[in-house]
Amino acid sequence: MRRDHNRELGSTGEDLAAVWLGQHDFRIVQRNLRTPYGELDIIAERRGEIHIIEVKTRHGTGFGDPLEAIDRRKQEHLRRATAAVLASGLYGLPRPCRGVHVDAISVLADGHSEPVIRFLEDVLV
Amino acid sequence: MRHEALALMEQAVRTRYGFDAVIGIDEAGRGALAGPVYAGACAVTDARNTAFINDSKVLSRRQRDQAFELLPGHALVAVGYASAAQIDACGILQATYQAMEMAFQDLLPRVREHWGSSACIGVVVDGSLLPPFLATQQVTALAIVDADALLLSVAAASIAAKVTRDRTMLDLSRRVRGYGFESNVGYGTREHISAIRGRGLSAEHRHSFVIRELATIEELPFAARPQQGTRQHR
Repeated sequence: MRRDHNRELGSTGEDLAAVWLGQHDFRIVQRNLRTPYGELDIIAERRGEIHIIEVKTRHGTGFGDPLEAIDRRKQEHLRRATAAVLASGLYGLPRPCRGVHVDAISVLADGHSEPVIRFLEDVLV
Repeated sequence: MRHEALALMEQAVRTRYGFDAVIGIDEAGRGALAGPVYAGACAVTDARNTAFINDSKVLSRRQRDQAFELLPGHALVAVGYASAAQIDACGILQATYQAMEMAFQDLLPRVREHWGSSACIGVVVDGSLLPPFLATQQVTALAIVDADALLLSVAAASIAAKVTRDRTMLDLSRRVRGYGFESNVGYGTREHISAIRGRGLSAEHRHSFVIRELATIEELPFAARPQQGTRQHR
């Protein structure tokens, strides 16, 4: 139950994030890309640069800021998965690529008011 | 493509932190039973046509040798080392840091010369721990696990460390015979361990390592042949 709930919440958050990105000049290349090092939520392109975007969704701030959930292990996963995507290539990615960014979007939704979306560029490399 | 990924990731680190130059540091031979531990430090000056640079673990010995020859045309390179005696005296971690510091101190003035004295310099060390000596330097230091498979300069450093260490072990094998250093470069292969059992330790062995290692291996069915009827798992 709990698991399904989290998954549903996650995918709604990713939908919201994808809409937000679309409104801000990003072109979504792929969502939920599986790599040998885990799944990447959103891969997008803007001005010839690749953006790997980790989406974090929360109901309220009870568990702390969503971006705090990107711990060391998650960072390693993001780094390796990003390198794997760059190494294997992905249809729709700009070539030659001018740069790569690992970003995060936090979606805070309480179910009543408008969700709060925060975009953080270059959370890590 | 893989190489492109290394170059892109390095560029991303550069833009993210505003570095003018990135020094990559990696070690080779930390887990060996004999010989020194080596560290490489590299700063890529010209990332064009550097497809020969790759994680030293995915390159063959020949490819690594070739890459090492080409490296100075595209990067500033330095190596440092700590001997087996140093490793025994202060532990492998401290010895590795000493090797890294030696390589770093050799490279830093050349990096400053190349990029200018006011350049913002970032240092990326492969692994999960930052060597303490970097805290006292005027640089920003990051420890990144598996950085040798992620960043161009760290991959280059891993090549420099590995190739230089392999060459040292080859030289060593002419003086210290019978352990097969020319092929096992000091690592604990079956042949190396049986040579240690037969001949005892040489001065080039890490005494603080080997004794413990052998004691545990003795109890393992290390050289045992698979028994008939049992399936071998790969």
